[in-house]
Amino acid sequence: MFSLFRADRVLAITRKELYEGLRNFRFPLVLGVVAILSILSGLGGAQYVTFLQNQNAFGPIGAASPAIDYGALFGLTESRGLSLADLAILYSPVISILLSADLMSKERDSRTMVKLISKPITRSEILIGKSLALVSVLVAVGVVSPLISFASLQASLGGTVQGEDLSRLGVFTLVYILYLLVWGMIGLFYSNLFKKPITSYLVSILTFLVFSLLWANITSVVANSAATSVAQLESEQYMFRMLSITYIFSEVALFVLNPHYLGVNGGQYTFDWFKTTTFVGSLSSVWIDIVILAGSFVVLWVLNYKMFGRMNITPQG
Amino acid sequence: MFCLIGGLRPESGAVEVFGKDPCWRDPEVKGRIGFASEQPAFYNHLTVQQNLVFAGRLLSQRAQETKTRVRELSESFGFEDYVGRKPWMLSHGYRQRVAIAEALVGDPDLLILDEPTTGLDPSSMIRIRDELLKMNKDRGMTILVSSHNLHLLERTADYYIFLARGTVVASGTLGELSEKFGREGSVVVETEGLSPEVEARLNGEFGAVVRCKDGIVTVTSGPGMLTKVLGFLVSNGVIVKNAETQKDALEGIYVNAVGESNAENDTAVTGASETKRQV
Repeated sequence: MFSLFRADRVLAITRKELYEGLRNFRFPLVLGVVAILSILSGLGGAQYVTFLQNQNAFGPIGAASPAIDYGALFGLTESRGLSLADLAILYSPVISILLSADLMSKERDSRTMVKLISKPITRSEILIGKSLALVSVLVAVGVVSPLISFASLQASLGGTVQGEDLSRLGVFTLVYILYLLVWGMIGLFYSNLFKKPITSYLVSILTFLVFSLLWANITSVVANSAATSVAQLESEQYMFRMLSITYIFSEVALFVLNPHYLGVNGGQYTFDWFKTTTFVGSLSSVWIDIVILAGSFVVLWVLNYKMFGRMNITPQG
Repeated sequence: MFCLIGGLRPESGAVEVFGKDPCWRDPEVKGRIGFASEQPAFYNHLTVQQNLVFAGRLLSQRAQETKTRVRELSESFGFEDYVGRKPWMLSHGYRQRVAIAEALVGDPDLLILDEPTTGLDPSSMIRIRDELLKMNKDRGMTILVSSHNLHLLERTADYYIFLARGTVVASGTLGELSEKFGREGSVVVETEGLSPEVEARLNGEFGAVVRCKDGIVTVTSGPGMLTKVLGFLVSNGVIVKNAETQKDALEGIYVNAVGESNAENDTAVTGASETKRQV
């Protein structure tokens, strides 16, 4: 079995990966793009809130929350395009994939993997070192993105922040990081599976397209062919949709950030502008989703560990 | 070769290095092994020095210790002027020198080299060969070289393993292999005053097995051949300056060994045949 890992060897790999990412401007580029998108999502959100306030859409909630309903703001899926939800759900997996899909394949393609495994370092140390570099950048993205978005919103609208909003934003950030990590592990999986970085990138992007953008259409077709009633159709559509981590995370984001989402009934979300649920109530609706996301991350990491541990490294990589 | 460094798992049998499985006892075994492959691979975003320091980090060396070692190795292998450059800027010869130096950063007990001289210019080849011999002699380092360059091997190694179609067909020292697979060796006599008449009589006496050039007489060896040739030359008034019996060169032994194995197995010798030797 594998030996226990040594921190100095793991950190040597992590350091090398981070240095490489900084040297080829990949990390600064990713963080820069994330920062710009986050600012835009904050400003776009502020504009939308102003519009809703003018329409008196918040109604009695405005009276209960004298400043701004931040929770509602971050769950505003109506502002499709550049809301924080869009940024988190749709754009971030691409960032995860860009950072992870060549982690192993680039070493095999350039044959540096041969050199690496000939050194006194276990394969688990190589994988942990690379994962650590990936995790540290994704955590940075996961923390910085909501913070910037929130700060730009705050700067634009002013007002005071409610304590519960901070709790919601904190939990959202943690789940967002988990979501980024799951996509990172999917990229790493393809990076283990394919030797050519271009192949692992393309397959990762294809997976993202299928499970994020096309998934609703696919599940509709599948559910339509099986359902015998409208109620059954909605229920099955929901069931199939939740096989995608994108939709699992989407549900968590909606419920954690927006107190007006009250529950799931027959495959339909119960939403009411004039009612709110508590933070704990929101969490209780989606705790199973959070567990599934965490479980996916663990399972995928173990799968990568097993794959890399059994991988044959040939002279060609 | 790649089983030895833990890259491949054997399909059957077992591989042990220093009595342990390199696949499962990674750091313990590999800490004592240095490896350089035929096609040197480096991290091109790092300089030569940074590549070597990174190798030192994986060996859990302190930075200062690695830097001192890198300085020594760069001077030994003659790339001290290029340590600040990116590896992709170097010629193949220098990249190979750096690759071997990198394998030596940890001062290993066993150095494994896969085709270390492929595509090298003569000066790089000589430099690498001389450094390997020096390390073997001075530090007692075992060096395992997989190569098709029999000339290089003959001049550096003292133990050989011939592989054909993935099977060991022969192994041993040059003497042992020569005994087993050497055909008749040659008697080489350096002479003075070898006249065309004596040369013609020599040909008559020993037949087509004689070659004469610039006073050097070479006769394919047989039982007691040295004595017979010397007796003939001396009795014909030729001055003998030097005389020796030469065994078959490695190339001849290799061809004979692989050829015999081929005949026994009724298989063809292919380019996959490989020669390994331990210095």
